[in-house]
Amino acid sequence: MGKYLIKRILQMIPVMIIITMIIFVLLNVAGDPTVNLLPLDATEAEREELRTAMGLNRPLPIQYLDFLGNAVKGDFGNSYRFNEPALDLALARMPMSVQLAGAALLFAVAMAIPLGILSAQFANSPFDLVISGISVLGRAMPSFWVGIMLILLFAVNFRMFPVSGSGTASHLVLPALTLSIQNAAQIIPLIRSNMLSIMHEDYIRTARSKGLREWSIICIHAFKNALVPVVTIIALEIPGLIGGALITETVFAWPGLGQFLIQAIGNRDMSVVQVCIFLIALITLVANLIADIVYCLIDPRIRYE
Amino acid sequence: MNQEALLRVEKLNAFFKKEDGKIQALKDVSFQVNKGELLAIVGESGCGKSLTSLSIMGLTAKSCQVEAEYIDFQGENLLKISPARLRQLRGKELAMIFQEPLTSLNPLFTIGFQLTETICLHNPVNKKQAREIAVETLKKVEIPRPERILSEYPNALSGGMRQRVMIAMALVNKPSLLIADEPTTALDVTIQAQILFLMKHLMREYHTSIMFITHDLGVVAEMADRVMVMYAGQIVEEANVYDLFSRPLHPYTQGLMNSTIKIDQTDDLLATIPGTVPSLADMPEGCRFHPRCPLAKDECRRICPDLVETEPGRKVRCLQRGGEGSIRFRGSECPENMDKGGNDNG
Repeated sequence: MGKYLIKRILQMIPVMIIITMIIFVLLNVAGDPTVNLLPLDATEAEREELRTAMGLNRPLPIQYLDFLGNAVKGDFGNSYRFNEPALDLALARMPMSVQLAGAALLFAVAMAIPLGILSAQFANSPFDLVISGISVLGRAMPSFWVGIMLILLFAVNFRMFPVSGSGTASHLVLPALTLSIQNAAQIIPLIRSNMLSIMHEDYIRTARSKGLREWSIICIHAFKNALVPVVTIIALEIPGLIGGALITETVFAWPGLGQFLIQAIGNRDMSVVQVCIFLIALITLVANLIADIVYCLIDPRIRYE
Repeated sequence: MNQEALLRVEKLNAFFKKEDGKIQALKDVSFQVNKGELLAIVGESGCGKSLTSLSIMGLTAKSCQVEAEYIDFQGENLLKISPARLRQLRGKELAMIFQEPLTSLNPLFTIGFQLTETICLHNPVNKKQAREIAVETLKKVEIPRPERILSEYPNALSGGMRQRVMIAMALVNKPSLLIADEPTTALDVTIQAQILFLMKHLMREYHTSIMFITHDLGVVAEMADRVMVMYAGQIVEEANVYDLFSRPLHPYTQGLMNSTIKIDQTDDLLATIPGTVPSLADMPEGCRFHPRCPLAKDECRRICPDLVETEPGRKVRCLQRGGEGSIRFRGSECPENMDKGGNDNG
């Protein structure tokens, strides 16, 4: 396992290099940052001067190698807009994003596991139909709409939670709930169908023949077997929740990484965009690695060489 | 042999609900298992032998409806007792071993967890004591290094080892009745012999009765005290093992025996019973075996025979009484071999 981990971590390096290459090329295609940095009436000579100062008139491969060399040292350049190191700015947003993502995942799993198990247990009952309907709806509803509806209901009507902003735990509830609904809606049918097929397995019959209670069979013997695909989904969702929750973050004015990225793109603040995408890619790789490790812990049949 | 009944089943019927009505999978199955006895149930696939055992355990699928006058186990009607009481009996007094030891063990839990779970459920012991009992039981089923096996997962064990673990799990609470549903079918022959020997040995040690389900007549001859032959959801013959093998009465039993290869067989052709088991949805009128029976007469096509006691301890469901044991089945493709094949039991 230790050997496997080292191998996996080493494999992440070339992947990250390819990702930086793609980011770099795409951003250079996207346009000239001096357009936004200088006033509209700046002359072409002034722009050229700025480009030279920023090193933007050098050949692209040289610029890239320069960028890569600095990135290895943790220097992604300064934000054009804030004139501070881009990495520090992005990392400053991370705790907020991680907080939101963590709360959203917690809500999603806490909703999805009992509902998924119950709808499998009462398959084709009215309860199951209602839950299935809700999960289809949950996947179909766009998050900006869910967010606004939750604000209307819980912030405006019932005044239970603040409309937007951050700082306290109650600020966290509505944006986390918004994000969790879509996730839960994905996990519920997965758990339901897994549980349904697992309950027909021979080892469930064995567990019954031992005299175990039905609920302990469901919650211990069956549930652990239903967990592997759920871990996959969660691992796939984590990067999206941390870096890609831009709509929800915008609706709730949540100062997370997603919102920061959107602003940076709008400002053509290239070094910030680069560092944000770099971080999201890194989170994706790490989340996948963690998922692979968790598989091993759940299922002894999964072994990596 | 002590003739005191441990399990008595009277008129067990099982139906599968289908969109277009019900299909009857078991018809009026009545039998008893005596204390200290090994009753073998024999028959082809789909004849209802596994369903009989699952019905007793209350482990049939939801789509299956089980009815009986009673299933009396040690004075309690298993069909009438509460689910809680049934759970108390299962794993404690009534245990079961299944055909496929790999899929019957939960792949995500250690052998130790799965064994101690049963022990703790039915006995007032703590984890440590349960572990000791588990080690003892694994020793009884001749598993080497039992302490190490406890922390292994099922996929780390061989088929024979897994079935030993299953046997240990079934016998750990010293049940009165062990139902073994083709416990050796998935194992290779040498392991099969070891497992059978082990079961027989433990049966004496634990004073457990066994209901042994198999389609292998060799295993029956080896293991059983009494034999019940099933065909198409019915019992067709019941006898003690010596009578059955020396003088099978039902044409189906005779056919089964003729279908086994004998060591001194000089004939190239393996005798078979012509035809196949009828589908449950489309049972023939009259005797269920008549389309395949060489003795079938007109009355067999009309009248469904009862299971009749021909002599003490011996029952047969055949209007012709199996021609008193005189039929010969032959290889179905080679009529010129008629008199060579399969006259050993005639």
